[in-house]
Amino acid sequence: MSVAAPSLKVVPQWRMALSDLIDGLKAHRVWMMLARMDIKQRYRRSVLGPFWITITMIIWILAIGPLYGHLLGIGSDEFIPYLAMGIITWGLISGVLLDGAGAFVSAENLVRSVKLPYTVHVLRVLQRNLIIFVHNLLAFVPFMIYLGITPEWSWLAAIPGVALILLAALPIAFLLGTLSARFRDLQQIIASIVQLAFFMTPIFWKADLLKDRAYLADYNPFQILLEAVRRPVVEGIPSAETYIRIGLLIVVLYVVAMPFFVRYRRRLAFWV
Amino acid sequence: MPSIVLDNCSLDLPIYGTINRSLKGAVMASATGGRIASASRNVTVVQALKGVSLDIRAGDRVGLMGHNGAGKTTLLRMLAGIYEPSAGRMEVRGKVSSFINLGLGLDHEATGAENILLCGLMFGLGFDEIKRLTPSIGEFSGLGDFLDMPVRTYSSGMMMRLVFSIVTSVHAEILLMDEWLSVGDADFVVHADERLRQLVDSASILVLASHQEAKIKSLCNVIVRLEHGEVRSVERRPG
Repeated sequence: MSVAAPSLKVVPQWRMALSDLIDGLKAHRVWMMLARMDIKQRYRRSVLGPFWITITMIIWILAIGPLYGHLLGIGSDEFIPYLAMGIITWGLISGVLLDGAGAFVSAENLVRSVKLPYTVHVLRVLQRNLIIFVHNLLAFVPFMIYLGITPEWSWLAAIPGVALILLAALPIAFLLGTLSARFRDLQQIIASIVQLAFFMTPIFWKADLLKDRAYLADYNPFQILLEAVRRPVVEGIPSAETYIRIGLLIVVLYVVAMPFFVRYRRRLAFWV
Repeated sequence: MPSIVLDNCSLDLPIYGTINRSLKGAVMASATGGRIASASRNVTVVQALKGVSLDIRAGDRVGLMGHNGAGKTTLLRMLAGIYEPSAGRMEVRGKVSSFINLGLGLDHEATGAENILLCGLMFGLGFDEIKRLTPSIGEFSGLGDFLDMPVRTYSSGMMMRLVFSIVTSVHAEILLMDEWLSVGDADFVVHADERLRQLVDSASILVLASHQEAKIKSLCNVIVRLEHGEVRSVERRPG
């Protein structure tokens, strides 16, 4: 029954990876549904549901805001919006990093049972974190009302900022997700790095306090991404330099992650 | 027309222990030339499939037989596209619907109805189509009101009913099934066999792995016997 089949041709790996990406993007209904079910599952038996996320965030800002505002000698009406947007955006960045590292491992059952593009598992993570981010944004509303802040047109510039963060998160999740599937202790290492980065990044302190060590913030990739969302709300449209930095960061991430994904994509099913 | 062609396909499965899954271990091994964590350097590789060649055409109902560990599930995973062959060439044409492991891939916290929706989407159906199919899936599974209960409350037989009803309803050209079919009670097994017979017409392919010789013989026209990852015999019967 063996057949000589000259028609069978070997498809190059990069082409398989590319179609994985394209098919994954096309299957938007699948990852949106998976992400929605993730959120639903987390709050299935609670009355407030996903709004727990919002309340937790409000409590955080209420506790940290006045304290650090006082320590830094900055008035609440200036410091609270800065802190709130900082923490909320940090939640998105750290969320996609940590969840991205677990993108394939946590979808183990699905990976080994149903053929889906690997991109679906990554986009599920991004979508889930975007939903959480939107819930978190609601936490900003009571502070806006209390401090009498009115929305400005420049705030709209935060939307492309969020899109840029997600664009950067895609290659990160491919890279860290694949590595964490192979090396199981990597997720803990990433968790500690993210925790460290939380203190190294200007979130509850301000970058201008660094004075002659401004480079610590200027070249901090977390700060670069953070500014794309925080600055439009707090100070106005970010400078072109901010966007150039983000652009460079994203290019570097894709250049590093994509060859990696092309090479190891086929092994993922063995690793998870 | 759907078709499956395997030309001399092999699959090496790497088996990772705890040590060689650790980054620390890998770094230590490279820094010390492998002396400290010497065991970690060699990943055990099991050759799960060896030189498998198959030619399956539209209308075939293929039964995979073999003892435990013969490579039935691995072959199904390869046909589903989950594992890519490490050597040889494989071409699968047609929309595949597979549910290799019972219960894996179901969301256990979600209700049966939500899982029908999720699985339908994963198999590439649209919302309208799923909505249209849901009543018949519910009816065939016989789960009734249990469809509104979380899947974690189901028995394995009920889960099987749900999964079987879903995968046989999505109108895939190629249907892959593992031996979990045997979990159902006698009534359902009769019901299910009947459906499998109806399902495979001249334009589709069924690949079924099972231990039950009688079932395979009554359902399938191609019987593939696997032993230690190799094809021992392929028997093609008329009709």
